[in-house]
Amino acid sequence: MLKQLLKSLGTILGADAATLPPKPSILKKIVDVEFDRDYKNGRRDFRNLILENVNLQGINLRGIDFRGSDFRMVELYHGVQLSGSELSQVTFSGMNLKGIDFSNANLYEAVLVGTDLRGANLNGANLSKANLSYANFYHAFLVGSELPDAQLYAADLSKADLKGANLSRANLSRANLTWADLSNTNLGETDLTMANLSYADLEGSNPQFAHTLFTTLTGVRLPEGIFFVKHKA
Amino acid sequence: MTAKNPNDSSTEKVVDFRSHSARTDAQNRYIDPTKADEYRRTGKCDDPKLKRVAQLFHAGKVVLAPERAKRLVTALIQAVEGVEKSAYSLGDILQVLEIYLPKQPENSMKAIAEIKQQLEFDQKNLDQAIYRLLNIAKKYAQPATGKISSEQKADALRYQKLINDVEYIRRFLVEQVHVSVVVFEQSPYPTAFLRRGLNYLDVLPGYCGELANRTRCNIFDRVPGTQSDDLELQ
Repeated sequence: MLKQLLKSLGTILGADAATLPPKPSILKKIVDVEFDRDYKNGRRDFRNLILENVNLQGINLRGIDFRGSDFRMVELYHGVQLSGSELSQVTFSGMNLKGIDFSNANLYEAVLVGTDLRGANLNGANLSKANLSYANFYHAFLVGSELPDAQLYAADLSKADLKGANLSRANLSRANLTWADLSNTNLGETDLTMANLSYADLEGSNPQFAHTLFTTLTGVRLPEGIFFVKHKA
Repeated sequence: MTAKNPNDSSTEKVVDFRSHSARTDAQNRYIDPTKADEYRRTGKCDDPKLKRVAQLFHAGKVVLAPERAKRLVTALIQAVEGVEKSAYSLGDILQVLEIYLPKQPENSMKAIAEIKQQLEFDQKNLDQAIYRLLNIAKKYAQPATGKISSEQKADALRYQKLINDVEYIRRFLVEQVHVSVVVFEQSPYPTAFLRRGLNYLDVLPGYCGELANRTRCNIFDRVPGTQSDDLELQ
């Protein structure tokens, strides 16, 4: 309780920023030619690597293990099949992933700080414990996605479709959720301190269990029986 | 208009029941004008209908004439029919748009223009029908008589929730499913893009129907001496 109070106060005073991504360990680099050769030789384990100018077009990433790898120097075109891929602990920070298809992908503990994910398809994706602070999810699709313990500090989720998503214990402080569809979401212990939920749809969700200090709730659609959101410190 | 308790024998401040029923002829009036005149002059009240109306006035409640109630219910039915028709039509248009949007440059401009025109027309009709329904529903929100029981309280909360839901969906459709927004914000996932709008259009007629039914009950509760369904049986 006291811990949450101090955390909320920190958010109000602007003292807490998003948790920084962990310091990158010394990773081995892999370049385009090397990747192509190894992939053709049947290698599917590409864990803890920095992918440099690797062309992933035409390769079905489902079945390839990229855990802990850094994709910041890779161009992910629309042709790259990322749907259902294993991308836990990977880094996509600061990348332009507008309209990309991450549906049913495993992005557990992935780092997507400040990533542009406008209109991206993340339906059914696993984003548990992922760092999505400052990311832009404008009109993105996150239907049924798993976001427990995710960091969404100051993320733009306006008009995002989060129907049926699990946002338990997620940090959504200072996030913009204007016109977002949060119907049937799990908001248990979700931190919504100073978040903007104007015109969001919360039908079938449980906002009474969320932390809503200084949360903007103008024109919000609340579930039946909930006429105010209890302000918890 | 002031009312007096019918049990009170003094003749001061009596009710003039003729003022609201000037448009209807004497025979079709809910309360016989001769009895109303008699009550106005003497303060005596024999007619049970007149007694009930006087009691309601005395209690500060608003009453409705049966003719007015019937007119309101007809307007409600028309509004709900308008919502249903426009919602289904708008849903069909959006599904057509779902197919057209990804390959917009290939399609002729004429076909796109026709879809946009139809979308605008249906949105306008839907907005007007919802506005008419909400206008009546908000005016007759609370039950007119008696103490409010826990059941009535729950009904009132449900009623308010329905009004809020219909208003929210109306606002969403006007602002977010507007033709300019839908065509401008192109998405590589048109099914997901239009899912929310189509879902609202699917549930909207049901909400409006339930709201109209509850409003109808509230209206008839304000007609003295009648049960909700009495007028239907006549």
